[in-house]
Amino acid sequence: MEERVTRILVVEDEAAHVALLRRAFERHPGRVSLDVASSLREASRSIDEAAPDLVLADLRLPDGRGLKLLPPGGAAPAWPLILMTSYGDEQVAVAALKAGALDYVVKSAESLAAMPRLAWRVLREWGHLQERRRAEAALRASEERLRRVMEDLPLLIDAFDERDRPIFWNRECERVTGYRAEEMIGSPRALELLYPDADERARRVAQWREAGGYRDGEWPLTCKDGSRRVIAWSSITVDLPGSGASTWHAGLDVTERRRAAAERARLAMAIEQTNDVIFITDPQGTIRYANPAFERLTGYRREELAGTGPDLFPWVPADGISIPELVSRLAAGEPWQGRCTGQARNGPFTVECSAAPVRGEDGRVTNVVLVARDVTRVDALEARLRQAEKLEAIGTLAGGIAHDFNNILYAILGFTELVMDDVPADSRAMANLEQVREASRRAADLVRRILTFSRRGEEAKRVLALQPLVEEVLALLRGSLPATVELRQRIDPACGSVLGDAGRLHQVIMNLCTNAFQALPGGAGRVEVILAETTVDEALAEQAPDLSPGPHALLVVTDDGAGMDAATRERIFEPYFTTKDPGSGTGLGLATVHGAVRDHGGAVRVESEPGRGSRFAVYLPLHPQPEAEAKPAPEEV
Amino acid sequence: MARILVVEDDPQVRRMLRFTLMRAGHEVAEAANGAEGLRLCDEAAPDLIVTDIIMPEMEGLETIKRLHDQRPALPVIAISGGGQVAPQGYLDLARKLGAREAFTKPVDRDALLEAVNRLLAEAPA
Repeated sequence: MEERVTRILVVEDEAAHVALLRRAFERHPGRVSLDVASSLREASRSIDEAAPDLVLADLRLPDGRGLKLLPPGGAAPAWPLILMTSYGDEQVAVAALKAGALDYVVKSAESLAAMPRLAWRVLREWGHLQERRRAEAALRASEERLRRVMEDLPLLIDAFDERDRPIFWNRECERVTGYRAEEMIGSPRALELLYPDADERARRVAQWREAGGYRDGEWPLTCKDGSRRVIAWSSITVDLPGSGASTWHAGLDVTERRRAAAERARLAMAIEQTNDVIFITDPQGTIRYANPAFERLTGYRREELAGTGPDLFPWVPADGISIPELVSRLAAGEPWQGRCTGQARNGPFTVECSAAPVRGEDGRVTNVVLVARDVTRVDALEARLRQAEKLEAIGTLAGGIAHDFNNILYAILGFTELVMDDVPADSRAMANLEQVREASRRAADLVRRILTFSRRGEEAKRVLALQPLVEEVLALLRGSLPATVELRQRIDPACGSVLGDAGRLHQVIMNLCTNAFQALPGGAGRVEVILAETTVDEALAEQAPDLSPGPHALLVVTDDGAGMDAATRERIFEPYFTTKDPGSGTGLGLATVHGAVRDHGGAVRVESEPGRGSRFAVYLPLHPQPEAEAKPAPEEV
Repeated sequence: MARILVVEDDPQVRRMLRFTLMRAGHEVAEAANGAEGLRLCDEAAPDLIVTDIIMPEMEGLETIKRLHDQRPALPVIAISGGGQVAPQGYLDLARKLGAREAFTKPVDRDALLEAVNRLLAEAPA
């Protein structure tokens, strides 16, 4: 490698000095080329042509001072300059150094001879100087870069001096808070704006001052528009030693994230706490999530459900679709809605179900959400309500036609009797008229019985002991019962009284007992009549909408006869519904019982299975007995 | 023999009642509704009234109340075929309003005639 030639420009008008310098450099090792200029003008031209590595300039030149070569205003020259002065010019040396010369030499034979050593030293020094200047420039550039990064980062970065005035406020701070850097930097009110609450402000400042700093400390700050945004702050003071007493912070606006999280938490809470059954399956029907309402409905704990499929317990959609078909339809993205009945650990249930496929970002069904409302009890209550409404409607209808019907019957009966006055007593006409009269009376009786179950409680009810009523009915019946029927009775003499209509309650007992005997196959079997006091609890009252909780008289008529299936049980209280042969029953007996018991604030419950007999239980609310009545009333004088 | 006013909207029943009461030896005036009944009550001066309870024009119970208000001593027999509410309810009310007797249709002939005769005998001459 060729050794680099060091170019030295000598600006000297005295040829002797130039010669001395030439000799000195020739003797000195190192390749040097000496260019010589004898005036400032020549020197400037030479420098313009090619920048020298070093300039040795005489102070006094024919066209001015050698220092003029240096750039004005103390700017750094592109090359080092050594000023050569004559004896007695030393006082300008200080000015020379100030102007940017690196050194100066008082010219003498010796000093000029020693010039190469000085030149090498100055060149070395210049090299160091240039290096330092480059480093400083690089540092400045780096700082600028850092500042810009901090300015533009999507993080809030701010800094406060020891008097809590902002000294840094980046663009994200401006964006999030709405306060411009111009408003904030140096403002003594900045903290007050951000934390209007004095206590909170004090807490924040104390936190800043705390040793060690913090990470992701979340707290809200108040924006210019008055809104509050939650920021996760980290202190960065500790990471910047030597930044004085300022505190630096980097913050992330987590308002939306927190809001979304709160939203999710609220949703999760709602799903967990709702009474509706909610569960999520994968497209194959495997249960992935079930809420507590699911546990309550089915009796299965959620831990047991993980990974179980739709065949965990039997359930049937009411629209007849099969479960595999339903699962595949849902997996195909088709929503489904309908009623389902099933049998789980907690017993039978009925639900109104709505199933919706959930699609992923690619449009494929990833899950199915099923929401089911337990209508088991609603269903049962609705059925009872429908039954009650039906009876009510029939009663209303009966009442409506009864008046006209009775008028017609009255005319028939009245005229028949008038004709009977006119025909001979032993005539065939009389015998036939008797039949007309009898038929009319039966019709009138039928109307009365229809009216009985549509009756309201307008009859004069009185406080009534049931024991004599039951005894009376049983006594009546015993006389007409065949020996093949065993009639048992258990009548609790302590059973309290009810407020009731003796005639109608008599009919209730009579009808139930008659029905019981008629249910005995071949007229043989056992009928039991029980009268006791009982308390209707909340559970029973909930099942029977007609009943209120409290003490009741309970009349039970049991037979071991034919029994009934569910379809029959459903309809027995309907007027004109009968299982007896045509002509042998009116179909009004149990309808009358139902109407009468209902009018007494009670209810009838039936239990029956085909071949296992029937049990009719009549609940009648006891009449509350005021204590005063229990005492014997003072006799009137 | 007495004068009896029959207030009944059903023409067949009215006619039947007239024949029945006439055969029992009474003179019978007929009204098809309560308003007519009240008017005839002034004109015909009956000794006893048999009135239906559900009738057009003036409701039977109203008729009974006004008859009783006008002539408290005039015996009234109420008869009812029943309706939305059971006949028993109307009959009780009729008694409260001043009817001496109340029957459910169809009325037993002997019971009706017995009541008529009894009330006429009780009535001040």
